[in-house]
Amino acid sequence: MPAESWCIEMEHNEKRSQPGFFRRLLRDWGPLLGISLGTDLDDAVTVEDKYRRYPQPWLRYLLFLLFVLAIVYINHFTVEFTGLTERGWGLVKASLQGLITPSWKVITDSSTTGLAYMLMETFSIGFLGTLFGTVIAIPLAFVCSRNVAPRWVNLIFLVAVTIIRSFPSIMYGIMFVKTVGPGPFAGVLTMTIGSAGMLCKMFVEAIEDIDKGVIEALDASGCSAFEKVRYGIIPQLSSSIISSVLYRLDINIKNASVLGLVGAGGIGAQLIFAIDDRRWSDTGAMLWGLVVLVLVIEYVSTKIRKKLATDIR
Amino acid sequence: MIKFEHVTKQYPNGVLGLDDVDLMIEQGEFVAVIGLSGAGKSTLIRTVNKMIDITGGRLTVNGTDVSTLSRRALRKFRRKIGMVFQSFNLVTRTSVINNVLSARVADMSFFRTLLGLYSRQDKMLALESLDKVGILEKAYVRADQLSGGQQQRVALARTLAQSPEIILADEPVAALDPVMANVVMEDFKRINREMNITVVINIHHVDLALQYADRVVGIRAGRIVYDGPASDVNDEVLKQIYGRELKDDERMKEAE
Amino acid sequence: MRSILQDLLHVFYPRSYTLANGKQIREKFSPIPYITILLIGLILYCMKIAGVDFGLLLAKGRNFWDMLERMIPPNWKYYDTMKKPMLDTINMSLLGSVFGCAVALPVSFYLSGNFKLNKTYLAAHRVLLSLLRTLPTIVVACYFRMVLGMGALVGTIAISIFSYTICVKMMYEYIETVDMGPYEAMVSTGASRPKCMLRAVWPQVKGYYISTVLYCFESNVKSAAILGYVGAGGIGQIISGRLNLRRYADLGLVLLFMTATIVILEGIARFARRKLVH
Repeated sequence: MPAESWCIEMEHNEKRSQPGFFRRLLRDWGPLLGISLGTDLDDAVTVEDKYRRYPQPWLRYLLFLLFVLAIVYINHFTVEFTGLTERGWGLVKASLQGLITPSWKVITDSSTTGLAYMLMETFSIGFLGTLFGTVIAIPLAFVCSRNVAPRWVNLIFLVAVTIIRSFPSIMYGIMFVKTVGPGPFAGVLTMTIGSAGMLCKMFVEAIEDIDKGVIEALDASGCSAFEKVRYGIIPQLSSSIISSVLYRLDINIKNASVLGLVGAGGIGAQLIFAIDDRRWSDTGAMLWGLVVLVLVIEYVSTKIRKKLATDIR
Repeated sequence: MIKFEHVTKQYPNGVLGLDDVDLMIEQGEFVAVIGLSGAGKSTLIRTVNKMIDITGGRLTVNGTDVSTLSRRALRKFRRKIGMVFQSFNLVTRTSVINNVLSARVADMSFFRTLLGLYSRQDKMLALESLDKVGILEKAYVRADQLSGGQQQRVALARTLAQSPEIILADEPVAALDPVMANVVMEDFKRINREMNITVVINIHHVDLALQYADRVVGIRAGRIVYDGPASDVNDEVLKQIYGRELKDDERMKEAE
Repeated sequence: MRSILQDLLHVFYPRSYTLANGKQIREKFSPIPYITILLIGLILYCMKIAGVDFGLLLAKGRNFWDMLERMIPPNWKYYDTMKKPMLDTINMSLLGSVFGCAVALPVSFYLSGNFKLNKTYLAAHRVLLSLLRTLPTIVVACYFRMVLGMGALVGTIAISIFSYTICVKMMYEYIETVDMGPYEAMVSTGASRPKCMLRAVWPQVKGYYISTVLYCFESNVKSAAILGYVGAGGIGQIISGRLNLRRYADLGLVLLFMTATIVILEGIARFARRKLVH
């Protein structure tokens, strides 16, 4: 064969073994966005090439930062900072004063207007709300879990629960106040619905995790369905149920204080009134009481949950 | 007495789990079922207490035709048959004694079942069962704090609390180390001897089977290819059952 | 019958058994039956305090649906008035979460035990944080509303504070469980502590941080909607307004959109978090 045509063939082959245009684009600029193909890394001949092809996502971070800044910028029209007025500063000082010198009258008052009673009421609302919520959530969770009910039943109830859960709880508060009148009972009902949704989700996770082997063993020893549930399913669930309930109790007691706002009882109403009336020392007393209550509940619940993980039942 | 007469189990996809099985096991025998994985050992064991239904033939246990049983009668029937599983199947969060007591649940009245109130006799029986397998001192310990071998003994005690006539065991020692496996097999043997309970064990460690069982049943592709005393099992027989040389994991290495 | 009562009694008081072979064993005492009784007592007491009366609920149950019935069909024309507050709410929660978590990040590094700060300073700060955490968002919002006047800024601040407290706690607990090996290696090369944190610890923490931010956002969407009720801006303000005017059809639309927004945003946040775990 003549030498020239042979040479041309070789050139042609070399060109074809080079990657295409877009591929080269990806190889050279991809790393800046954090994308690099393993084959490119392997093909690198010199150390310098390899370094350049390794993901160095500067561009990616920069874009992300710009994105965040854009959000902030777009939103700043919503939020107007007009600066603290003279009056505002005075209020801040006075309120801090009230925190430091809480009103002892409120604290030591042991009647129904006293701090102790208000805290007990708040606790009751949170406690009973969680309790009743659990009672509702358990059967609900069974219906929503894949290993108990058919898939279409699951979906219907899950959708229903999500919608009920997303409905603002203030509205529930208002509606219950309209139904059973103002006072803590409306608060209990509101908390019940609020907790049921969250607890249902947690329980579903626990139910889908159970060990079927235990149930098989009970089946082999001749147990009826009721006995299988009582001795096979419930013992496995009981500790996660209690754990979730305690977690929820924590949050609910905090929220219970808020319900006072709509007249549903608890320390919230008195707290807001005190703030509105500028009764700072009363506010301080109530805030301290609330803080103590929440911290105590948190401590007790953490302790119980730790014990649950290591002890019997 | 367990009697298989031309028993067949065909799955919906056509696969034969059991193929024309004829077998008779008298009360008080210690039978080991060996064979390849998937050969039908598990199926054979589980048909006895109707965990798996048969599709052909006749299976009688102490005179009762198993396929005629349903619901209430089945539950009553299963009371007399204990089952031990490979994965123990204990309720790990409660105490050992509670696990053993769960065997008594099927016999208790509704009110007692609801409240979990076991009677004095039930508790005595549970404690005696634990004593028989040698872990009485662990009675009030949480189940998941025990070792694998101890947990399996708890499972065995649980079946004993049923006062069964037959004990079925589906790979009871597969999840245990050699030392514990021997201990558990000893327990099975002792229970079989002292209490005259029929023991049918599904096992894939051939040397354990030969060491402890009186009678060996070999299954291959759903058919029984060997049925005779353990002492008569030699390499020829094993080759027939397994169709090949034994692999290492089918022998339990002797403990040092 | 008698034996049932006997056994019931022994639930409270353990008995001992003697086996056939002479061994003796005593049941383990369990405080659970006593705790159950105390619990029942507590429940009954709370029910009295809270005035729980199921009879009342059954009797007046109809009223609950009354309001709902008046909200359907919703007044679609109200959409135009509602648009801005709705956007405000979303902005409030987004901005509040991002800002709160952004401030929380460096603080959480300082607060984790790894940074080896002065012990008492650490303890004091953590205690302060716990105290801050117990305040419900609405109370904070109320307070700031009084100091700063009405507006979305108040809500944003309240949400930022709330996000800050949650984020710091979650982050420093996580940082403490992180592998400090690479950090120590860097410190031994003589790099300054912040640099080591950035290069050795941050990459491990990155994923969890973004997950936490999304979690904050998820929780805040719901509270943002409610904060408006105390005048902190957003859609909650409209709710109290419409209620006072008894314009239930408008309210129906507002609630519809609010619920839909919460569902969608929560869904997005959850989806993003799940993707992140991979």
